[in-house]
Order: sequence, then structure tokens, then C-alpha cells
Amino acid sequence: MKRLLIVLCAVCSLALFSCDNDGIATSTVSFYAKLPKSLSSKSPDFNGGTLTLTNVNTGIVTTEAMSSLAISFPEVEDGLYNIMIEGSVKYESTDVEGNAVEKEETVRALKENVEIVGGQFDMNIELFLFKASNGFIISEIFFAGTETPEGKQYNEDKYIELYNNSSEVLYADGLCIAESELNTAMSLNEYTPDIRPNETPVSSVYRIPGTGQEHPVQPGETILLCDVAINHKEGNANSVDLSVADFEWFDGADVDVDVPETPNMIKMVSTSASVWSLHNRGFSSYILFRMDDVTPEQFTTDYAYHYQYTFVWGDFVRVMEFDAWKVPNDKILDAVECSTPSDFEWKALDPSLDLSWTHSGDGDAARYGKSVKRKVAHTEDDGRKVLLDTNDSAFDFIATAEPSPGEIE
Amino acid sequence: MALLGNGVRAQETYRFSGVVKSEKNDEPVAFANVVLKEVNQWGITKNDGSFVINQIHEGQYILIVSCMGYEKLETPITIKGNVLNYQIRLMESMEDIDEVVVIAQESRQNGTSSLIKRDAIKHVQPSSFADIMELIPGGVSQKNGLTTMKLLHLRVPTDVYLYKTTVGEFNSSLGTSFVVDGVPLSNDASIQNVTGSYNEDYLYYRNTTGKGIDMRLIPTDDIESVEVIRGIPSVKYGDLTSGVIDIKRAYRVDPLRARIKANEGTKLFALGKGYRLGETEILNANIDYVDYKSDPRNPLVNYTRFTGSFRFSDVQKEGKNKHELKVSLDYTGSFDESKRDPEIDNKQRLKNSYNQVRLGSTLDWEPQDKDWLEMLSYSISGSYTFDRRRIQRSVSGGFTPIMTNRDAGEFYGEFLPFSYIGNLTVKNIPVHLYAMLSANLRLPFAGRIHNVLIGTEWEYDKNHGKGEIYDETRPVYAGVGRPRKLNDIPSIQKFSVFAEEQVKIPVGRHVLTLQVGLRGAMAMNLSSEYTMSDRFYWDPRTNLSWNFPSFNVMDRKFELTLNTGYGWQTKFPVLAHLYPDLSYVDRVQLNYYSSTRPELRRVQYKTWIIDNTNHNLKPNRNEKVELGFTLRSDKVRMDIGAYYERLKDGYKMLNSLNVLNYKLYDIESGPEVDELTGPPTVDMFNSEAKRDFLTSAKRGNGSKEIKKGVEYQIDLGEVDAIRSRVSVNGAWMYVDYDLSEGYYKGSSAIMEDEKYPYIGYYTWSSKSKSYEQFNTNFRFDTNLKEMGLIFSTSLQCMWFKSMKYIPHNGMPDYYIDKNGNMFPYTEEHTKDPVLKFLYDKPDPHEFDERREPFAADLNLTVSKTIGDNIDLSFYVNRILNYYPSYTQSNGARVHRNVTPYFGMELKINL
Repeated sequence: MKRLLIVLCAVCSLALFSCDNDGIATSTVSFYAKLPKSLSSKSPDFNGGTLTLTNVNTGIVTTEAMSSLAISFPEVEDGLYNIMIEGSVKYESTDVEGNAVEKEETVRALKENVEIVGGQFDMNIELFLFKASNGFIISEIFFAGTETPEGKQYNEDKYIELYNNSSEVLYADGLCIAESELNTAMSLNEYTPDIRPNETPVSSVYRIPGTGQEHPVQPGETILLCDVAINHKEGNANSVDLSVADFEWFDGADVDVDVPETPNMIKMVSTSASVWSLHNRGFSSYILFRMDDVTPEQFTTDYAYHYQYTFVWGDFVRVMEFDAWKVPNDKILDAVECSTPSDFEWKALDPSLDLSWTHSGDGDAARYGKSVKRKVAHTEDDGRKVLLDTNDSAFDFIATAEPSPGEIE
Repeated sequence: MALLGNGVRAQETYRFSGVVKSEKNDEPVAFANVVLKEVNQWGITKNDGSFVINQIHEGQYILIVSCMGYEKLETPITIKGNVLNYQIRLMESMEDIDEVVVIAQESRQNGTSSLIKRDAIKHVQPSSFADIMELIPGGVSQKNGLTTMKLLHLRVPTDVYLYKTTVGEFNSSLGTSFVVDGVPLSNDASIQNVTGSYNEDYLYYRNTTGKGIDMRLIPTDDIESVEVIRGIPSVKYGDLTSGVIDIKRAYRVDPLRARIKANEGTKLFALGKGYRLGETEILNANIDYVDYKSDPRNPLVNYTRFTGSFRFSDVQKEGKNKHELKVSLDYTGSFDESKRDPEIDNKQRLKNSYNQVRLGSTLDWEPQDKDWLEMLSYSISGSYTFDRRRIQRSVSGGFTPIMTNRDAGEFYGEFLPFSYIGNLTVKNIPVHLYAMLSANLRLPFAGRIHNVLIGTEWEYDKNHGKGEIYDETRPVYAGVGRPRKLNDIPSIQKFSVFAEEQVKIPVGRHVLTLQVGLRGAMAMNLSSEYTMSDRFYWDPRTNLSWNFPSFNVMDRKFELTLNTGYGWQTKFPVLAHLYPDLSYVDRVQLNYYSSTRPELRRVQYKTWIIDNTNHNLKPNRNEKVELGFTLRSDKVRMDIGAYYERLKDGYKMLNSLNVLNYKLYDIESGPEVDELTGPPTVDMFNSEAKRDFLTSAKRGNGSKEIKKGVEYQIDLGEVDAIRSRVSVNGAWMYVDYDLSEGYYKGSSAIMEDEKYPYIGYYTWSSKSKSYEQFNTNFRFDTNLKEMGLIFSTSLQCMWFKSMKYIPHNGMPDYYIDKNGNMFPYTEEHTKDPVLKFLYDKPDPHEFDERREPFAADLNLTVSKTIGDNIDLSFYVNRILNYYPSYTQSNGARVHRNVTPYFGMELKINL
């Protein structure tokens, strides 16, 4: 037994020795978190949190508790890192009667692809306020479409489902749904102007019609938006029944079929003259917002967005210019970032809107007939389901889920 | 005799005698032919090399001395009195009689050309004709697959046709004439297009409509020699712009030979024999079978070829009835097939079967008394091709209407079923007839005897196929439904006349050889609406060689010839260019798709018929200039030649502009679903008027193509020190593809929920490019006769390749609004918030050169004769290769990867 121990010790020390000696440089790293500027007048106080350091190359995750805004790591292997902070902040506020109250909110920060090298590495990180929504949210996105029994791609059964996650009756009138202009699988070289921290570039925007109180949605009820509101199982056994849909997005009789039983949404803008078809592999992201005082005409002109980037493909290099539209981030009610594990390159949405991303399949045939669907957080006593919404779709959503249009499971 | 122009002093004749000796060892040469060309007076040398020709009139003549095993000598001679004891020295032929030549030899007999003989073809171990083109200057060895069409692009860098998005419009391959035993092959009536299959790569890469001859169809085992004329061909060759591939097949007694070849994916089996039927009659027969799989692990895409050939010849070279008659009957079967993995989709099948039967005959007849007619020739040929393409696939049609109306107007229609199996067959039956009659004349006028070739040619191309055949209510490509019968298209007939004179003019000790010809060609059976109709297009073509007197440098005899040429070549449009399908454009105006009552589903649509026939289509015309020289000394021959070709109005797909007025009905403005008793009608709904641009593909003469370059070949002959024949060849070549006509292009920008209101007319294209490449192949062919081994090493160096976009300003010339008003487009419009969308701003680096640096391959080919009857050969290409990584101007690092490939074959004389 003793001999065994000695051998084990020898092996261990050998292993340690070899670890110490494998030549990867390390750095001493310090992070200094900054509290959100919006709270600067309210005497904010950091109430602790955690910092997660993920080595992009090796996948090794280090989590460290933060008791103050500064945190140091003595030996971090040089490499590319993603840094995420989640914590809480206490601050003083006043209620409607003018009484001082102490409030507590979640704060977060995310920095991606930070290169740590050089022995000593210091970094300031801005925290942002994070509020869980309590209203309309996107509960399901079916962007992949299906494959017919004959093995053909079928795109007409795509849909987006919205959900009243509050305990009150809400009105869907004026809700707008949009697809992001930026693609999570294609990071743009020399992309400018990068407006993502404040506004989200979008390519297609459709609005639910109504004057304000025409489309009430009960707590725990859904609103189903789709391209073609029929029972698609009629011609494609692998598809879904969308005859229960509430609204269609419609792009003109010359390119799109129109189902008379289902009202159409108002087409605000689109960069495409043909049918809006959600990105088939899920490289686009989706936002839900409200800009009731902006008419489609005003949106077209006042929210136009021109940007450029440098396209490089082999020896082909060219500055590409594009026109799209933008939505102010503070108008956004909910946002869901989509991508795939193999293709994700960058975030189309600011981390304050969605910290992460979800996916259906991995760009392969496994995506067909599968959606991304929000998890149920808990069920209220009255049976109402409350869906998980922490603005962290990797956590909030079931990836590659079984679609259930109009149903919450 | 009175016919002779210089026969003024007809009574005075002289005697010409002398001795023919070998340049190498001064031995007398027996049985050499000594001819005074202009008067066709001749003598034959005796054993001591002596000859005599009597009764010669005074004059300047070309003396031609020829003998087997020696180079033919042509030299001017002036006869003013008796010439006695004239000394002639013949150089030994570069080829020993039994020497095996495995390279392409340069020739300037018929413009700039390369001659590839049977042994060279054999040594390449080809699967199809495409493989032997690596032998010509500028050629590089390539792994030629057989599952896609193989077109020949002469004097075009390898990268031009690398991708589908090519700028080359196949004008080079269309303008290359393949002549087999004196008869051109034709692909001009073939139409393999499938409407709506724009994204179908399988069909695209096997569709040779308007692109020329698919070299996969040409077997190589029956070929005796191939002449690749890249320069200016004789006027007897017509309907071409780029060059001629003149294939002469074997008409000779041969033992029964078999060839079996195997390499990655290929299995080839060929059998051939030549029988003697009588004293002058020979019958040759060949069959060949090839099976090819592009990926041996994937048996779902494959290619099969089966060919058979019977060739009869009757050749009488002596006596009073000299003639050469050839008759051939050929069958070519070519079969492409592709299936999808049955586990994914067992319904998808694509299958092409191409069957051609060709019958041809040529006769050269020489009269006994060659007074003014030296030879009379004819060629006739006919071919019938039955080409069938079958496509089967499952289609999801759900939301696409069925549109089969053949009239313009507004129609109600139904939707296609959600899913069905679509079947489509293309029956393409091109028929080609050909007849040529020519005469070689000796005409005395203007004080000389003129050797003149005159002739006339007629060619007929017609398609007898039914074209696309399918159930119009269940189309393979949803939204398509108005096929056309190909046999409704009229035939095209081409009529040509040609005349050419070849003269040798002695100037002191120099000899000028001049070939001057003119060819006129006309397309017949065209309606008078066509500009081309009943109009002759004239091709003047001339080649001039200037042979300097031989000179000695360091005890070596050198001969220098300067070669130059200038000429025009014309290729007429093919049937598909002249008679495009009518374009049916449909716009759905009402799209009513009830979810609860399927019986109410209905579309209402408007149809326009656009005829994109271009009556102003002109033939492709290529202007060529050649300049070069040939330097020879003993067995060394060096050929260097520069060329410049300009095809001003090549065929190119451009477009026509149309404005469509239509309505979109708003179904929310109509009755509720429950109120309807039948499918809705448009009067129930409000509508919104719409107006859109539509551009529709139209063939024009819009491609401007420039080719220039230098081709070179240095054949050092057998280098004794290494017992190898050493040769170096290659080319620097440059091509430039630009637009010579404009086209319309809109913007996909959406303006306030409406399609973009203007369309631009552009006279530049962002696809216009120029390409350049420079290569050298170093070859060492070692023939170890005693061991029966031929060992070839080829070092193929690509010094560089480069590509550049042709500069443009990014602006249209003018723009048009939806009412048809035209406005000039100016610099300031590029900043206008609306008009800027017509401006395609060039990137600062867009027109930079993209250069791919040096790369080299080493290829080995070995043939070994075992016993008397077995040849075993193999090749390994890229056995060594050097493809260094390089950095592009934008900083990107490019790693190039190539893999060796190999094959082997067995030849047996049975």
C-alpha cells in the first residue's frame, strides 16, 4: 500500500511537473467592472456577482465570485476569451409618492473574443442593467421549415409565435416583428457604422394592424404569425397546422398566396421584393418592438440605415454598401438571437437585448421540422404558464424543439 | 506547250542534270524524286544519285527534291541554258523511318499548327480527344473527367472556364471546327435546353447548345494524325473563328489490336483492325467502350461511351486512274446518368443518351492528262443524332399556378398539386448534311503557272426532334408550361465558295511561299427579316513564308523561315441563337387560397409573350494576325510565333427591356369566405395598378474578345549525351473579354414599398475580365529500343496566372423610367438618394491584378514493349509537384493543394 502511494505521488508530481513545463505563457489579468451610467445619480452599489471566463480555443471555463467591482486572476493562459459578468446592483430610487426606496436590479456584461497576452492584462468592462420582461415576448420561432416526405425543402410553413407573459390583458395592435439585417454566421469586416449598442439593424418589418384595442390577448395566450395560414399537413405530412394563425405576412399577390380567412399584417419595410422567408438555417435574429407613433412611411424614411463593410473572398476584395432600417433598442420588447454551433461568428444583437443565442439543428437536415421554443419557468396557481425570459436565449430556449404553433407546452 | 506563258521561245529547250547526296555523309541518295514544280517535269535518281531532266524551257522554277528518310528540299533555280552536274544535298529527316515521335510537331504548312501523330496519341494514353490537347504549345496536362462536357478553348488560359460564372461566352469552342476525314462535325442544330432549369448544374455542364463540339464524343484509337490549326487556316475550312482540328483516321492494314486502360474511375476497352480486301481496297474497323465514374465511391454519377467505326478505302497511287476513295460509317453513343442516393430521394433521375450515326465519303481523283486540272475532290456526309435527355424528380408545386395558355391576356387558373413526380424528356434530333466539291487547277496567266484551288460547299442543319415533352399541368420546373417543338424551327443552310492560290516565288536564293485565299459564305433559308439573310460574308486569308538561304554558323547549317499571316474567319449563328423560344411572362394578380374551403382556391394572372428573336444577329467574325519564325538546323527545330486575334461582335446573352402593367387585387376588400358560392372573380375586389420593368434574355453580338500571345516550341531532337529527345514548348497568352453592346440592369432596392422606379443601360459589365498566363513544358523522351522502353518525363511549369477586372466607372450610360423616358446619367446622380442605386461604385482595389505565382508538376509516362505483341504503359502525373503558398495583395494567404493521379493500360496485337 505504501509503495502504491509512493508510485501515485510520483505519477502526480510527474503530471504536475509536465503541466508546469508545457510552455504556454500566462498573464496576470485584472477586470474592473463599471456600473451603468444611467444609475450614476442614484448612488448605486455593487452587490456581488460572478465572472465567467471562457477560453474560446480550449473551451475551459473559469468562474470566480466577485465581491467588489475589481477582480484579478493571477495566472491565465494566453489566448482568446469570452468574459461574462452577472451580478446585482442596489440603488436608491423614489416611488410615485416621493419616498426613497432601495431597489435591486440585475446587471450584466459580455465581452467576446478578447485576446489576453503579454503578462499583464487589465480591462474595464461596462455593466448594463438587465430587466426581465413582463409583457409580450417571442415564445417560438420556426425558421427552418420542413422537409416533405419526398425530401424537398418546404418553406411556406414558417411561423413566429408571440405570448402574453404577463398577468394582464394586453393588446397586440401595433406590435412589430422584424428580422435582423446582420447575419450571425457572417461577421463583417470593417463594418461601419456599428450601431448595435443603441439600435438594431433590420431588413424586414411587419406590423399587426389595429387602432389600439382591437386585438386583446389574454394572459397566457399566444398570437401566431405566419406566411401561409393553412393546415400544411394537407400537402406535406411532415408539416404543421397553421390554420389557427392570427395574422399572415403577405408580400403581394404576384409572389405570395393570400389566405382570405386570416388577416394580413402591415408590411412596413423590406429589403426584398419577394416573399419574406425566415432564414432557413437560422442565421438571422428576431426582435419584437412597438413604435405606435411611427407610420410605415415615417419608418421608411426616418429609420433608414446605410452601412458598409469590406467583403473579402479569396482575392476578391470590395467595399460593399447596403441599405436597411434600424430600430432603437429601447423600443424593443423582446429579442431572440439565432445561429448554429458550427457557424456562429458574431452577435447580430447587442448583448443587452440577448446575451447569447439559440439554434435549431446545426445547419444540417436535423433542423427541418424543428423550432426554437421558450422554456416554461413555472405555472401559476390559475394554470397560467410563465415563460422563462432572462434575455439569455441559450438558457431561456429549448434548441431544436418540437414545434407547437399556438400551444405552450 | 503553247499554254505555257513563258513559251515565247518554245523551240529552245535545255537539259538539267546533277547528283543528289546526303548532307550528313556525302553518300549518294538513290530513288529521290527531282521535280520542277511549275512544269511538273521530273526525274528519279539512280544508285549513284544522278538524275537527268530534258527539254526544259528557260525560266525560273522551284526545284523540289524528296526522298524517304530525308527532309524535302525546295529551292529556286533559274534555267537559262543547260545545267549540268548540279549538286543537291538533302538533310536527313528529323524522324528516322522507324523513329517513334511522341510529341506534337510544329508545322507552318497550313498556318500556325501542330501535328500530332498516332504514336504521340498512343503515348498520352487518352480516354478521349480532350487528353491529347496537352501536347500543343500552351497545353498543360489536366485530369479530364468524363462526366461533364469537354469543350476546346484554343489560345485561352486555363482559368477562364474554371467556373460556371465565366465571362467567356463559349465563342472560342463554338468557333473551333472539328474536321474528321475531310468532313466537319456539326453541333449547330442541337438544342438541349430545358426551360426553367437555370440552377441545375447537372444540365448546365452537359448542355453544349451553341458551345461547339464535346470532345468526349471523339475516340482516339482510330486516329492516324491530328493537325491543330491555331493560326490562319486555308479557305477550304469554313464556319469557324478560332481554329481547326483536322483529324485524319487510319485507312491502312493493321493487325488486330486491343487496348485496355484503367485509371481512377475510368475503364476503357478498344479494339481495331485493318483488313486488306483487294489489291487497293482496305477495310478498317474500330470499336471503343469507356466507362467513367467521377468518384469511384459514388456510383450514382457515371458516363459511358460506345463507338464503332467502319472505314473503307480504295487508293490507287500509280497508273492512269489515280484516285483515293474513302467511305466511312460511324456510330457514337454517349450516355450520362445521375441518380440521387435512394435513401434520400429515389425519385430523382437524370439520364442523357446520345446516339449518332454518321456516313461520309471523300474522293480525290487525278486525271490522266494533267493539263489544267490536277485533281478533283468531293466530300459528302450526313449525320443523324438521336439525343434524349430524361429528367425525373419530385416537385413540390403547392403554391405555384398551372400556366399553359399560349396566348397573351388575363386568365383564371388553379394551383399545382402539393407534390408530384415530374417527368420531362428532351428529344433533340439534329440532322447534318454536308457536300463539298473542289478542284486543284493549274492556270497559266500573267506570265506564270498558277496553282489554284477552287471549291464550293453546302451545309444543312435541321432539328427533327420534338424538344421538351412533358405533362404541362405537372411540369418539372414549376411555373413553366409552354414547350416548343424543335422540328418547327426551320433549317439553316450555309453555302460557300472559295478560291486559293499557293505560289512559291523565288527571289534570288530566297523563296517566298504565299497562300492567298478568299472564302465567301452565306446563310440560306433565313427569312428576309434577318439582316444576315442572303448576304455573303467574305473571309480573305493569307499566309506568307519567307525562306532565307541556308547559312552556316560554327560549322552548322541553319535554315530560317519567317512566317506571317493575316485573315478573317466567320462563324454563323446556330439554330438556338437564331430561333430562341418565345418567352412567356406571367404575373399573378389575384392569389386566393382559402384554408377552410379548398374548392374556392384560385389564381388570376396576366400573360405577356415576348419574342426575343434578334433579327439583327450577325455572324461572329474573328480577325487574326500571325507573325513568327522557324529556325532549323539538322535535327533541331525552333518555332516561335506571336498572334493577335480580335473577335469584335461575339455572341453574348444580353437582354431586352419591357414594361409590364398589371394589377394586384386585395382580397381583404372582397366578400367573406362564407359568402362565396364558387371561386371568386376579380370584379369582387379592389385593385392597385402596378408597373414593373422586365428584362428578358436576348442573344446579341455583345462580346468583344481579344486574344494575344506568343507560342513557342523548341525541339532539340535526340540529344546523344542523355539519349533523349528534348523538347520545350509553351505559351504566353492573354485574353480580354469585354462588352461591345449594352444591356439593362435595374436595382433590387425597394422605394417606399414599391419596386425601384428606374432601370439603367450599362455598356460595361462587372464580369468583364482579362486573363494572362505563361507556361513552359520541358520534355525528355527516352527511347531505349533495345529494352522496348519509352520513358517520358515532362516538367510542366506555370510561371504565373493572372486575372484583372476591366476598369469601368460604375455608372449606367442612361436610365429609363417606367414611362419609357430616357435620361442621361451623370456623375452627380451617383450621390442622388434615389439614383445612387444605379451606381455600382468600384472598389479602389477592384481593378488590381490578381496573380497566382509559379507552380510546377512533374509527370512521368512509361511504355514498355514486351515481346512482339504486348505494350504495357502507365503514367503518373504530378508525381512531384511544387505549389508554394502565396500571399494575395489583400494579405490573404493561399494554400494550394494538388494530388497526383495515375493510370495504366495494356495494348495487345492479337
